[in-house]
Amino acid sequence: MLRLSNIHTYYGNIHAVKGVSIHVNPGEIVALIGGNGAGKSTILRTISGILKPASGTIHFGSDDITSLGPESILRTGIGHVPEGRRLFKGLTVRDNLILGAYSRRDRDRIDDDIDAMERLFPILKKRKGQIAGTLSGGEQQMLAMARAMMARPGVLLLDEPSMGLAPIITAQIYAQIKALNLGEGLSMLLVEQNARLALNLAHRGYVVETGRIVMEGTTGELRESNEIQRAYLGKGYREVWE
Amino acid sequence: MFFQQLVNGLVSGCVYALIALGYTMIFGILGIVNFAQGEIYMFGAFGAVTVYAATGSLALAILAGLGAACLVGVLLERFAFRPLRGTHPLVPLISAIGASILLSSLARFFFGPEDRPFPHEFSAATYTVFSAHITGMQLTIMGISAALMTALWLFLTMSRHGKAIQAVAMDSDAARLSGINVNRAYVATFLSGSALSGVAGMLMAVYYNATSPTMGLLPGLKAFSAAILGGVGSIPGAIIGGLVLGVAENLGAAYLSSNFKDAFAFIALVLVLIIRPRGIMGQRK
Repeated sequence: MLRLSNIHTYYGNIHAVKGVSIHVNPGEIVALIGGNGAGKSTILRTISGILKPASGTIHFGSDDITSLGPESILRTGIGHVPEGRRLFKGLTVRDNLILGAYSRRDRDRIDDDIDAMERLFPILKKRKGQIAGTLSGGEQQMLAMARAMMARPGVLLLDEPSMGLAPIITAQIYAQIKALNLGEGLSMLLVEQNARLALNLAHRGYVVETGRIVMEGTTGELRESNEIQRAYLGKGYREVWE
Repeated sequence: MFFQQLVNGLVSGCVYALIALGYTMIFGILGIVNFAQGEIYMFGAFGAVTVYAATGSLALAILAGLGAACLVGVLLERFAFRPLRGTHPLVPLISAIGASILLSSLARFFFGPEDRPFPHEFSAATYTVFSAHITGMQLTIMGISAALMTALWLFLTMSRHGKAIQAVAMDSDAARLSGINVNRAYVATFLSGSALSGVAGMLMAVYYNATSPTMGLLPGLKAFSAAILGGVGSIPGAIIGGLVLGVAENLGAAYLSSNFKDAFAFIALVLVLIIRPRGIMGQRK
């Protein structure tokens, strides 16, 4: 349903994404794993229109969205939870949710969707009137996901949802991501540095290194790969080879 | 005498506050200082004076003043600032100074260099409160300013579009990812800031019964100081900063020396910046 073909993106003079072709099927969670600066976030920012690709095409369903701006891309149904949450920190939790639905025309349904988000993330109901910047890291991540969900996307781009969170909070966030995927049938493109987490949650994965896809497969296949075990899952050469 | 000066100070403070709101909103959302804010104020006054002289209708004059100020504001956003987005912050600053000189030269070209009166008779009724004489005009200025500030506050904090403007000010990329059209938010900010400055210009034109192509220079500088004094980017800060500045300069002129009236405003600015560099209501970065 989401398909990138031979995408090249530059950050100023830096050629950050070099001919990436990936796709996400309906209902699927796809992980992009790779180290710092591999170009994972740049791929997501190109999909959501914050960055413009120098060449290549992006299709969502039957629409070519390559040249659209972020507001139009969101309206076609691609939500983006950016790296570092990027909440509207001086506004209340509720206002963040309301602004998440800014692009929608069916305004009478927004209150119902806020209720739905508060059922999924009960802590947000308790923090309703609180200023978003005063939430804990885990709560901010939940609010960032709920805000993106308020636009009713068909695909959610998730950038490092575990960043800076304690393992127990990360486990909770990942359970909620899984619930969104199972409950709403939402497709996801997940960027993670923590390869173990991502490969346990996702159905398929791509490995990104210096702006290129160097490996792809089902997460089962990737977990079995010696290369991945050594580079991303922290298993020593010895253990793997002998 | 103290209460009299306090009232006079609050009246000019209201006008500074209205202009300072334009500075602070534009800085808050775009991170640039629009040094042509005083010229928007001047065009508001000129629009009203010109149409009033031609038609004699106060309602039309007010509409024309608002229209002129908003038009100048939107043109500034479109041609002086939008093409320079993403450049070094000094670049739009220079563009703003250039726009300010251009606008006051245009005003001199079209309206002539001499003062023009605002020939409308307003009621001369005065009211006495705590031994201070308050004219009907002063009450009108304070009333209109308070109403506009309340309206702005309600717009920004209660309406969807107002919240969207705040969101763009806090994080423009995240706002775009939430489907907010940032260009529209910039235009809305310039429109509301310019409308406030335009009203301030009209009020002062009537109050002093005078308009001139350079009338925006000093109020513009003082309102800029008021915005910094209050904490740049902060809406309540701009209001408090404007009022503090207006009162400080009137009390200074009355008790110390009226020759230095304009200096007291800037002395107040320097004092606040020494004691509290982020301004009265400013957030620590």
